Amino acid sequence: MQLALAEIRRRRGRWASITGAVAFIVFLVLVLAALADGLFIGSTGALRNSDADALVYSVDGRRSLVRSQLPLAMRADVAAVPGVADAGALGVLLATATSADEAIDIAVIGHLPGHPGEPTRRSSGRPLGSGERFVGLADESLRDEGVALGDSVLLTGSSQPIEVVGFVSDSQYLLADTLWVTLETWQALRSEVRPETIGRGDVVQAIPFTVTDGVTVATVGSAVDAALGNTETVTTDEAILSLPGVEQQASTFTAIIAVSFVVVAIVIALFFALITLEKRGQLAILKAIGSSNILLLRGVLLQALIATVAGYGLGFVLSRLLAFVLPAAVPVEFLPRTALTLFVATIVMGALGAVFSFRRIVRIDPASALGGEA
Amino acid sequence: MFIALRDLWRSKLRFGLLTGAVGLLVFLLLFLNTLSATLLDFFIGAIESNSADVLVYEETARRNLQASRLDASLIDDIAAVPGVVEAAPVGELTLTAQIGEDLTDLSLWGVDLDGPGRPAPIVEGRPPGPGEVVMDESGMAEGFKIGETITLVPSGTELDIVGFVRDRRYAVIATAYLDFAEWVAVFEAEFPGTPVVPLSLIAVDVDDGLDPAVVGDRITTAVAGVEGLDRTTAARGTPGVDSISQSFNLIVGITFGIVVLVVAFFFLILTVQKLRSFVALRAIGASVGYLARSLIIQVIALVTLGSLVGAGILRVATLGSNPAFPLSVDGRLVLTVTGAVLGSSILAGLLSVGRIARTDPADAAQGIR
Repeated sequence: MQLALAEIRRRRGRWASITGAVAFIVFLVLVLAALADGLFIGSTGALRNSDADALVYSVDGRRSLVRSQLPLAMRADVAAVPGVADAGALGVLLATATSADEAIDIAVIGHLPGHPGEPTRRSSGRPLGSGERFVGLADESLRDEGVALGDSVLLTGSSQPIEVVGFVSDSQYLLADTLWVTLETWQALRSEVRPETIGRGDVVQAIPFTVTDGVTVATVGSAVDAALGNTETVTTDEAILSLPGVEQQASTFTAIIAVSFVVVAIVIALFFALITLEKRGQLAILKAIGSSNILLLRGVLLQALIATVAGYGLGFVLSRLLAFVLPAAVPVEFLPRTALTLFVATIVMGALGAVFSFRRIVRIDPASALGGEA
Repeated sequence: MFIALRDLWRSKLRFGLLTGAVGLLVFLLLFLNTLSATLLDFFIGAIESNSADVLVYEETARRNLQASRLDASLIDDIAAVPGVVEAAPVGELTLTAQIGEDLTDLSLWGVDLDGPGRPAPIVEGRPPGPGEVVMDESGMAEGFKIGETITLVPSGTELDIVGFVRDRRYAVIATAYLDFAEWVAVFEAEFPGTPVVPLSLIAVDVDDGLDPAVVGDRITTAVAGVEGLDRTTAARGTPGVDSISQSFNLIVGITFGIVVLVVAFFFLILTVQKLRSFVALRAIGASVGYLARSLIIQVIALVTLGSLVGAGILRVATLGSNPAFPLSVDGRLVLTVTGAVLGSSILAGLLSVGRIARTDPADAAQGIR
């Protein structure tokens, strides 16, 4: 142990190089993961932070909150299916808006306050009252666009401003800022902003519902589809993955992160293999004066642990610093869970790299120390 | 030279491992670049490769085609702007379509088939007539083939596919083009009783020799409530494009840095390790230049091999790629990436040359430490 530490102290430059290489790779993977998480979180908040167990779409809507349409009257039919505890309603209107002279892209989501589908993370202000018109809850991200409590937001094409009476967090929809209003407000806005939809009558886009205790969501979902006919019921988790692009994004990033990991493993293993190759002479001497393979392995493992922990720490700090200089268009989200997973993975990879080089230690013949040639 | 290659040959495992690492990193670089190019092409191809010179949006739509809603009366106002040869309506509607037994998403564009924004050139088949569409050819993977019939859901409207255009996909879903008047009929079937049929864009052709961006600005100034943009600006301004391209640039940049660092570190360690041999070589008369050249040759051999490995992995990866999202190996990209990695790696190798230059040949005489 002492020897392993002394070596690191005496060869600072070399160990700094290894730590640096580990740090940069950790940095890359952390930033990639943050991007993947950022895209996922920004795309799915509206559904992820809903208390609904499942959502009912129209079959031809192909699980799209924008294209699915169901008569509002169907909500009562859903609620009547055995196993359904409560049913709400959701409608989405993608629009542009102005507030404080700034133009913003916005998703206005109509819902029934107090029923499934409403945003669950209110951070400030007051909740919406049932049927209350032209007031809304804004996603925290709208604060960055200059929207404050009590401000009014006016949609392009609409004559009625909406007063922001509260804020909710993590409720974005496909990276757009959301404004949550009552279903009544949403219908009024939609008729103004999208007059072509008037002819469709009293429709909503999805019916979110909760199930009673002791029944499975899948069973109730099938019962809902059987009772209603032309609908497709999916669990909230399935609905999240069905959002346009979300599943593709997730699988693309998983692929990229996996490739990066393989590279991490190879690079770390390579460095430790190299260092062992180089120390063959010294290791042979140590073995000749009686050091066991296990003792030498412990030293190598300790060195790997130190290099990877230090490299991880540096990479972690670098990735956090990067977050400060990134343009706002790049959605990054650093999650403690991801950081922890990567920490464990890096340590394991480092240890594996060290073990790989240990094979060479075992093969060293102590007698070669006597030959003089290292 | 001889020594450099001999050294490579005798330390096959060591250099093999490094070549593998560089190969994987180069693959990552190539893969990311290819992925972002294909993704962006699928996302905004219909705008970036549009046949019109200028695209006119509603001013408040923030360059978002789906938020842009224009009144047809604006076409005449825009046509009157100096430098505009012709202006034509463009409508876009995203709907559910049935092709064979499958339901899928379809972006349906109504355009003036002879005017600005027309689907041209047709790369296969022929231009559409009544009840017919041409598709972006990438839709083939989703079952949209010439001779097939698309049924729009829920209206039941049937459209026959008669031709393909290239690089004209929109919003990453299958994209079809038909005559504007027919598109209006589809819109009215989709939204029964609609009081308006809003245009998404107005496509404009400009006089030969005029800069589309300039004419776009003229339109923005002359006609109230609209924004005229050349294709490139319109494509880049599409919401989301910025996030995608910046995210990818960031990842590519970091990966690039890592490749260079890994190569630099490796050679630095190797040089330090071989210092004794370098000192001996210098003592028997090898110049620093000679040793530097040997090192650079090793770097070149290694990066070239690594890049070949990377391109090879990319080739294998593209063969296995989803036909609905076709990735292909772009030779120019491989060359650019290899060149960039090579250049930076040689610079990084010079760090080691510095270390060699500092050695004192006299050390060899004393048995160095």
